[in-house]
Amino acid sequence: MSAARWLRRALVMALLLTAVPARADAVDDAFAEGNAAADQAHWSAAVEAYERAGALLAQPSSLLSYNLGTAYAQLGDLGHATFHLRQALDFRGSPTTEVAEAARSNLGIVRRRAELAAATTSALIDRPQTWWDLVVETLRAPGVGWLALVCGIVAVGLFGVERLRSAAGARPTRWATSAFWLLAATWALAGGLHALSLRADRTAPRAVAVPAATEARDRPGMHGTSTWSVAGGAQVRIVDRTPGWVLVRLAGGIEGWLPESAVADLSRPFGQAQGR
Amino acid sequence: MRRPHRRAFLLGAGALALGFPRRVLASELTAELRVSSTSLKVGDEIDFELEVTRAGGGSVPDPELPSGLAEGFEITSRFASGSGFAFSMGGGGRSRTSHSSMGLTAVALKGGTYKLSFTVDDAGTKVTSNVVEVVVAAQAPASTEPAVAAIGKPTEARGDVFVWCASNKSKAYIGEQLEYRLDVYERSLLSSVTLRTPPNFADFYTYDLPEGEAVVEEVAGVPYRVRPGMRRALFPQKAGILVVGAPEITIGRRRRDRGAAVAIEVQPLPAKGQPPGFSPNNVGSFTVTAKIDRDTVEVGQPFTWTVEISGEGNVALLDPGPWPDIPGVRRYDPKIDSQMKSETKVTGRRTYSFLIIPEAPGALKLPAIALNYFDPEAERYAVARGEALVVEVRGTAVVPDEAALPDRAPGDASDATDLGLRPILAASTLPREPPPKPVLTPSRWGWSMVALPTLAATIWGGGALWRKFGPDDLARRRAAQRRRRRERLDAAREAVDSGEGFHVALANLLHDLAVGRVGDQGMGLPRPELMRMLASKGTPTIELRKLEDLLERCDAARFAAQRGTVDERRDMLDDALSLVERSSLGREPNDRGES
Repeated sequence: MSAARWLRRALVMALLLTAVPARADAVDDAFAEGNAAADQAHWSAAVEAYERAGALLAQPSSLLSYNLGTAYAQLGDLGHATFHLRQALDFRGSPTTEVAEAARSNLGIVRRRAELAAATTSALIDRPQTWWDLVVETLRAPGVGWLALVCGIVAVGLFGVERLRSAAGARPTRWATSAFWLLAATWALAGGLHALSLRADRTAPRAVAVPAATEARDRPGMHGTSTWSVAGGAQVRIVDRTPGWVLVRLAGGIEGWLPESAVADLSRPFGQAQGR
Repeated sequence: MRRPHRRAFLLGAGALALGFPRRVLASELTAELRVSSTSLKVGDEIDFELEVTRAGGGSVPDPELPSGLAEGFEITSRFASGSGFAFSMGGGGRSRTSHSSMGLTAVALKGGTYKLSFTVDDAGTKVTSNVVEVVVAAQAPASTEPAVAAIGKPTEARGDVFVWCASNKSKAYIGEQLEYRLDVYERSLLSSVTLRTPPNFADFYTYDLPEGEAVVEEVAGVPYRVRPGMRRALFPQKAGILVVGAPEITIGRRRRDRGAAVAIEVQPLPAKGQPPGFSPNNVGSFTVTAKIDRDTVEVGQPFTWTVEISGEGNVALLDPGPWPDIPGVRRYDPKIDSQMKSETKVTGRRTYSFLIIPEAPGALKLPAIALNYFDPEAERYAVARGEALVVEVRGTAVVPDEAALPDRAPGDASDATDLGLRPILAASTLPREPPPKPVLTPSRWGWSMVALPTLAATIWGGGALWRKFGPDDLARRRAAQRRRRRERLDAAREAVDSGEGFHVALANLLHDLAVGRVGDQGMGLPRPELMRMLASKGTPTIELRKLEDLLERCDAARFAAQRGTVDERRDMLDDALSLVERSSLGREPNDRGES
């Protein structure tokens, strides 16, 4: 093979290899632009640059969500700050320990400010997180699903072995019976609770109210009677949808219709949530 | 009477009965129209009675609707319709009349003079009733000029139903509470009275009041049932002659009645003694109270200071004026709550809840809140004053936590440190790894969780089926026996050439054959006993001898080292095979132990 032919192939490979980083550079440029604006406390410019980086990246990034949420917090936009800081904690964005700790810390500060703002504007906000919320959050984790599944598989295996032994004339051992029931109970309990939490996420996804205060109405449309008002940063669940409007429920059970643009769906990936 | 004659007689009698009266009475049909009133006005009801009579009896045609009725009336109901006949004897003769009648109720729609009559068709001949002249007076158009404020009760009876509107005062101050009432006076129970045009309260702030129950009143000596249609509390919003628009009711389907507009002279609040910046909504009678949710707090710990204004008047629009400055605290805009109560008058309560965060220790004095208002009954300005409160603040003065301020200015370079927020994380690049795809998606997890009990059920069901339809103990024992014989036979075959172990395997096979024939009771018996038991089980003698001979030859080979030749061993094997395959010893016993 001639040297010219090798040279042509090398050039083609170089072009192919440099094609992907070209888009990545645009993301990094926007990210760096946001960082530079944030350094100079130009938070509006930082938010704009981070939003641009997110649109170019088109995949979850906990680091980007954290910086964006922090910039919104600096601007006093507690709804967007809460939404992005919560997204920074989502495992789909691959949060590092450093990002997760910083996001939790900032989320706590934003939450206190949102509660205070709600207290002074008569708007409603979801109740503060309790140990029960932690339990519910834990039940939603994939680990609980794995635990239930493995327990179920082992229990069924043990059951099959015991049946074979029984067919061969052997009597069931006490430890095998106890282990089977323990595994079956774990399968049923952990699996049932995990299924409930998955169902809740599927039928009533979690969302965050983004404007400082939004009037909730008794029916979809601006002609509906305003019944209460939800504070920015309040976590709600979307229980129904009509074009342009969503029926949300606060943790206490109170429900009302909000414009779709007033809530950001936490289950949707970055760039597809409403209310941005 | 014979049958053909009887039939002819009946037909003739029927023809006479049907034909004779018609021929005689055809010229004696009369029609008459009667009305309940010949003079009425638009909207009034009128009853028509149409009657057709035939003297001498006979069929009577139904009357048709009067001509001209549709031009100025609308029929609302038919109240009577029927037919019949009367028969009388006396005075040397007899008379018989038939009649048909119809009753109508109609409402006059437009004025004019109507000449009404109706016709009936009597076998092609038109018979016309008498002509009745009904005069309908056109209703005078409603006056657009507002009436003078009506106060109290009506003094003049107006027909069987009318609407009456009034206010409790004809003169009032701006913001003063008035009562407006709309009643329907009716002499009969007319359930279909509806408010067609409600009164217009354009210049008033209004609240609904309880309407109350229907009562019976006399108007100019005429008893009426008074049905309350509307009660409103009115708060005039500007000075001048303010008019509540005239309402209109619909009675039945077409009839209407219009009430009077109510004019109220509204005066401005007196300038004398008016506090500066006074709000015209602060009219009524009010009291102010104040309270705190705790007496002792720490520095930086928030508490709630609640100021409540209650009383008679439009409390929802009250203007408490500027709130006093309280040094040494951070105070946020109040959370406001209004609760109105409508009974005979409108009262209410308006609550202002302040979130206050003390910033310095000591006795924190919350000043008394004063509310200026105008009392329209006393026609003077007054002041309602709450009580001053003291809160004990403990701890040491601290620098205010700016992080808690919801309205801080954005864009400040020192924000990050002031708010306590962690700084942004400035990495040079953003991680680009696509998010890991979870192996256990909710869908997969759900199907796996459902599959597990299905698998367990399948295992359990399979076991149950195996127990029900699988082999029993006897079959398993036979199978084991067959397997054992086959193994021993194979061992004997393999040892035919060498002779090593041949006789042992063959003896075991034959002994097993014998024990298998007699059952478990033959196990462990010496050979003579075993042979006797085989004989008692019906084993042919020739097979017994053959078995005994083979066993003895095996014993001789095993214990006397007489292995014999290969041919001899092959013969022994053939003999054993014939016992196993063709003798009764080789047959398997049934469940009862029979071969």
